[in-house]
Formats: sequence, C-alpha cells, structure tokens
Amino acid sequence: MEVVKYSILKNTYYDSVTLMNISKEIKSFKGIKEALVGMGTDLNKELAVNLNLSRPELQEITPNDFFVSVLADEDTAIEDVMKQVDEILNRKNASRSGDYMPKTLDTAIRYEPDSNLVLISLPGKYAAQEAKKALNNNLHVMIFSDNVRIEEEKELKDLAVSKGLLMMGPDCGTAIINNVPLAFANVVRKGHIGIVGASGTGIQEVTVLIDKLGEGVSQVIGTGGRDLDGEIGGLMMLQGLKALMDDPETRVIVLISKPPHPSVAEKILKSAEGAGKPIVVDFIGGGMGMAERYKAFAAHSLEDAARKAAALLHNEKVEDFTGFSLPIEEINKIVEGEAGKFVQDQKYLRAFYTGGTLAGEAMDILGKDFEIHSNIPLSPELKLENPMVSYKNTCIDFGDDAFTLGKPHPMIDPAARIERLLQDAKDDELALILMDFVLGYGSHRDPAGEMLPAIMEAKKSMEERGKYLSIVGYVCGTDKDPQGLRETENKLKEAGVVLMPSNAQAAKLAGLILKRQSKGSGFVG
Amino acid sequence: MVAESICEELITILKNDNLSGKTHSVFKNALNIISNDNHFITFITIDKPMAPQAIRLFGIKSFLNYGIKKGMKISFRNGYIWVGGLNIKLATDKAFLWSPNPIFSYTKNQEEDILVKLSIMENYLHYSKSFCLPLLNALSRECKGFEAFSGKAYQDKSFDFINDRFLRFIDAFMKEEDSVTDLSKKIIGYGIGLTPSMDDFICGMMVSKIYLSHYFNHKVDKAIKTNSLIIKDIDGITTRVSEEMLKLSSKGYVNQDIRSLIISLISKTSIDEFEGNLIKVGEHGFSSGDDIISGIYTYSSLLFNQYGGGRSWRL
Repeated sequence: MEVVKYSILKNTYYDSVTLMNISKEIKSFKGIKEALVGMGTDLNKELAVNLNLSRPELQEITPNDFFVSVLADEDTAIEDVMKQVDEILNRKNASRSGDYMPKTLDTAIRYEPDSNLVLISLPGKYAAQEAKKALNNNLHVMIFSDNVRIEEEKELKDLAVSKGLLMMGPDCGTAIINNVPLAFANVVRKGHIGIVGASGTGIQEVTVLIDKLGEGVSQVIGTGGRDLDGEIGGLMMLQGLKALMDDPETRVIVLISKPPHPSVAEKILKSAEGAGKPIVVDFIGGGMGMAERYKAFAAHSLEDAARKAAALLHNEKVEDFTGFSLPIEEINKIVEGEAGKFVQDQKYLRAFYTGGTLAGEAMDILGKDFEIHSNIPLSPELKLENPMVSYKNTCIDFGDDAFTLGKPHPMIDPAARIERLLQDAKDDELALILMDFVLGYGSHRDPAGEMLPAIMEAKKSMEERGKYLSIVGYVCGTDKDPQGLRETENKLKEAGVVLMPSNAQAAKLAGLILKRQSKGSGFVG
Repeated sequence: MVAESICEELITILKNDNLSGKTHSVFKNALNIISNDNHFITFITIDKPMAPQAIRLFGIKSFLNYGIKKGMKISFRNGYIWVGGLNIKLATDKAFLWSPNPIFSYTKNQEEDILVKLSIMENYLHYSKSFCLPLLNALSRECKGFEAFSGKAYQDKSFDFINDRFLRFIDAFMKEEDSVTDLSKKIIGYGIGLTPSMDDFICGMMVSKIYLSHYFNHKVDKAIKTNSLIIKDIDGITTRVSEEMLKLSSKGYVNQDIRSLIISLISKTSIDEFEGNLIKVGEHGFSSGDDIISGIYTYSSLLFNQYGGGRSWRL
C-alpha cells in the first residue's frame, strides 16, 4: 500500500540547483512513486493537495520552510529519504568549496591566463562564436555541443589549422589530453598508444580495452562526428594525426571513425602512411581494403583495434581477433542456457544503447545475419518510422537527437532507456535485450543501479506471461572509474544479465542466441 | 573587506547609524540580510552582476567559507558594516554607486531586427533548462509565435494544475485588466527554488513591459501601474527573496545582466552582444535565468503581435 510521507525543515532555504538535484534523486529512491520538493509557498502547498501529496501539517508551513512530500510504499521510512537528502546536500557543499566560476570566456582567460584549452558546452547556436574567440586567443578548443552548422565547423577548423591548434568537435564527447579526461572519459593508464577518433563511445571502448590489456594511452583526440565527411575533409583527424606523429610519447597510433567519405579516407591513410609509426585503423563497418593498401593495420572491431595496437606496441605478431575471450564450449553453454528458456514465439532482439558508436558496431555485427531496424540505421530502408516504437529486431541509439532534445544525454540520465525497456517488455515476441553501460567521468554515477529495477521488472513481467527475457550486456569501464567496474558488473550479474568483455563480443553473443532460437543453430565451433 | 559597488537606493538606509539586521540566508555567491526596519539587503561576490538592493564585495569567493549562519547579527554604521559574530568589518565608503533604474537612453532597433533577436531567443529557450517550457507549449495552442514549443508532450501532472491559470493570467496581463491581481496570486510561488520558476517568469514579463512600453512610446507610468496590480497583496505568498524580486522588477529594477539583455533586444546592439547577454542571464541559478528569459520572450512576442506586425495574438 502507498502512503503520503513528508518532512518539513523550518526556515531553511536551498537554491534551485540543490532542489532540482534533491527532487531528481528522491524520485529514483526505492519505494517512492511520486515526490514534491520545494518551499512552502501557497501555490506549492496547493499543488501538493492537487497531486495527493499533502497532509494537514504541510498546509501550516510558510514560504520560508522547505518541504519534501512523497507517495511511497508503506515500509519506506521518510527518515531514510531525508538521510538521502542530507547526503545530496553534503555532496553539494563539498563540491562547491568556493572555486571561482568565471561566467564568460574573457574573464576565464583573465583568471587563468596560462590555460591552453577551452571546453565549450553551450547550446549549439552559441558554441561557434565562443570557439572562434578561443581560437583567436590561440587556445585549443573542444566543442562538446552539437547543433553547430557544418559551415561554421569548416570555418573554425580552417582557422585552427592555420594557427596549428586543435579544434575538437563539435559534438566531441571525449578526449584525454595530457592524462586529463575531458567530457565523457574513462580513467585509463598513461601509456604509448595515441588515438584520434571521430566517435565518442568508439574512442572510450578502445581506451578501456587498451587499459584492460595492461597498456595505456598517450593522447586521445576527438574530432567530432562529421570531421571525415566530404565537407570538412578530415581536417582535425589530419591535425590530430600530425600531433601524434610529433609526440615522442606516442609509439602506436589508432584512428577510429564511422565510415568516412572515400576521398577523405584516402587522404588520411596517405598521410598516415608516412607517419613513421604503426597505424591501426577502424573505420567501423568498412574501409579495410583501403587501409591495408596504405600499409595500415585494419581492424574488424573496436576490440580488434585495441588488441592490434597493444600487439604492435609489444612488437608481437598482429593477428585478427573476431571471436570470444571465453572458450568455445563456454560460449555454447551460455547460448544453449539462454535460448533454451525461450518459448516458440519469442524471436526479436532489442539493442538499447547509450553510446552511438557502440550501437553502430553492434548493428554492423548483427546486420550480417539479421535485418536491424534503427533510428541510426546502416541503410535507409531500415530506418524506424517512429523511433519511439520498436519494430521486429531494433537497435536504438538513445543519444540521438530524437531522444535528447531538451534532455540530458542517456549516459547521464537513463530515464528514456528505462521507459523503453519496460514498454518493450510487454511485447510477447521479444526474446533478447542488448545493452551497454558506459562508466567514467561525465556518466551517471551508477548507470547499472539506475537500470536494475527496470531490468528486474521487465524480466518479471515476461516471466508472468510464461516467457523468458534474455539480457546481454557490456560494461565499458575500467576498475579505476569512479563508478567501479567490479561493483557495476556484480550488480548486473546478480540481476541475471549475461556480461561480455567487449561490445563486439556482446553483440556476437546476442546474434548467436537469436540464431539458436530462430534456426536452431547458434553455436560456434 | 571592501565593498566594490553599492546600489544607490541603499545609501539612505546605510546612513542610518543605528540600523541593524540579521542574516536571512547564505549561499556561495549571495548573503541575504533583513534589517530591523524590514529592508532586504543582499551582499554579493564580485563575479555576480550588480543588482537592486545589493552590495558587491571585493575579495570574497564564497560566503560559505566564512562560517556565516542564519540569524547572525549585522550592524550598519556610517562607512562600514560590522558582522559581529565573525569580527568582520566591511568598508562601504569608497564603493561605486550603482543605479537600479531602467535605462531608456538607447537607440531604438527596427522591429524586424527585434523579431530576429526574438527568434534567437526562441532557439535558445528550446534547448534551455526553463521550467516554463511546458507553459510556452500551452501558449502555442492559443497564439502564433510559440510554434517552436508545440512539438513536445509534457506529462508532468503539475502542469495540468497550472496551465489554465497561467493562460488566464497572461490574457489579463496583456489586456491590462484589474483581474490580474487575483490571477497573479494563483500562480506566484509555483515551482522549485528560492525564487520559484513562475516568479522568475513574471519578473521577465514585468521588466519587458516597462522597456517595451518605452519602445512603443506608451506611457511607462501606466506599465508600472499594471505591474503594481500584479504585486499587490503578495506578502507572504512566496519566499521572501522572491517577493523582493517581484516588487523590485515591477518598477523595472533588475540586475545588470537582465537589464543589458532587455536593452540589447530593443536597441541597435549587435547580435553577438545580444547572444552574449542571453548566455549571461541563462547562467543565473539552475533555471532562474532561463525562466526570466521565458518571461521576456513571452511578453515581447505577444506585444509585437499587438503593436507590431510580428506574431498574432489570438487569445
């Protein structure tokens, strides 16, 4: 049974940033169905009544009093909720120890005259103007924002090249410069592999796998997703490549991109040929022949790219990796174990990704055997009519504009993916969910914990209808990431999620399970 | 410690040698004081824009670092302020005087240029943190000029509660009806934060009303009179900080960032400068700045429908 519980703090004020955080966190607290947080203004009290969240004592408070009112399971203690509120407040106090936060680029430059890189995260329309200012002040730039016009991107990159600067982005989600992670980035070892990439989670995946192989990165340079389009001509990948060629700490270079424009790919590979350092190339889903023609090492997947880079660093034989880390017998056992629990009409896969490149890689792998419909399809005929509704085998990139307009990225706020998982669990033909969990700076502080209730509810809902929901996952993270790789993996395993050591292996396993279900043959051997 | 700027309206108050007060609320960049004669005075750090009733201080990065607690006694003396419990003396005698009055000495922009700037504002708001976006969504069903906000579905039950009241308030405000007094009381105080979102929105509406009255050669006094209907009898219905903000903004008294934004909207100011001002206001609080921008955008759009060739007002 659900009951209204409340707490009142007399004569207590919090700013809107704090109240927003409290409100959001309380709503995700176990056992809470609805929550209202605010100052005791007449309107907020009236709203509490309207939302059935009021009690007579709440009607007595004044605008100077702070209140929390929740609709919660009977056994949820309001004291526990308030303890959570205290934790948020303490966390906030600790994080605002009085650092000066300049409000404009000009004052920031005056305040920190020795800085040499500007990270810009503004609504896209304003990002270019600030980037231009930064470049004119001889500062390297990373633009996290999207929605910057391609003409502006070209102009900014031309300016950067003329000044010998980096202009990473727009829509550049990750970089690690001099061991400092920027935007979304994992905590990885410092080492001798340099990366230039036009893909956010693709870069994160390679850095994480390099770390797991015991190696580290020298510099990680993001270029933004459009850099290798014909209009931009790979200006920043060429600039990044040059920087890594000149960097004595970099001994092996990895280039990552979604399929580039052929003429741009050729220009880049031509430059790379003269690098004097081994080059590994993963133009996801293509370009292997061209890469090999220019004596680069072409990768079959992001994992293959990481493995090849590590082998080159060790002067070991470079071999293709397209299989699994686990022995074949174990993989077959997992496939049989999962597929054996399905009932006959369960046949479809839903891949719910927070990382766009990881989603692209999964579709590239699964697309060899299945038609995968998507909001970012590999071919136009597979484009979902309505991205909010799955169709047969579907792969969704929740970081796409359709899901992020006016909302945080799903790596920060997984709400859209939670909602979709619960929605699709009502589909009797659903068999398997494939998901990524991206750790590191910038990401949600507990991406697995946030998804767990929905995962369990989805499994339970299908079980009640006599079905089995298989969930295959991959955690892109290192043991040094703030969220903790081991803790994250343990939580997911306990909830029955089958975890694989890379995105490529997770996608391959999902494909085998589905094939086993649809054709009765999904084994490797 | 030394005051860098003082709002000129405080000078008379500070000359009263027997004035004392107590700390009301403490934040990183602001310390609010209520004097024993019920004036609301705010100390702000140097990185904050000057504001009505404010004293801006050199040398303080965060008020949270000084152990200042709510209810601590403050004494105002001629030339300095004394924070007794902490043994801190703030010199006020050499500070610049800052006037909160509306500034009308600008070169008027052409209407088509203002509409371009409103489109920029519209695009900015579309991606903003404003709590008022669902209300602009509701407005889009009633009048032109808000189409950009019509595409999204908002399922928060609290908006069902406020939508209708909001639309009735807007209608009365635009028609300058006396009913705005009762209608404003039904929406003031709605939302999260020390200045609830709706209050920020109304602040944006009221300050726009004053500046745009001047732009259209209407009587500014009449605009102030209509605004006064909104703030009539609001004592105790919202937070004290918000109550103060609403009363001041009804006279066109707002902080220098908001003032610069509204002036750059209606004056011959470059797009770059206007966008810079937009970003600065947007940085206020979590959503406060964006809610104020929503109010400025809403009133300006609607008024250009009424008196310009812009966006049709059909309520």
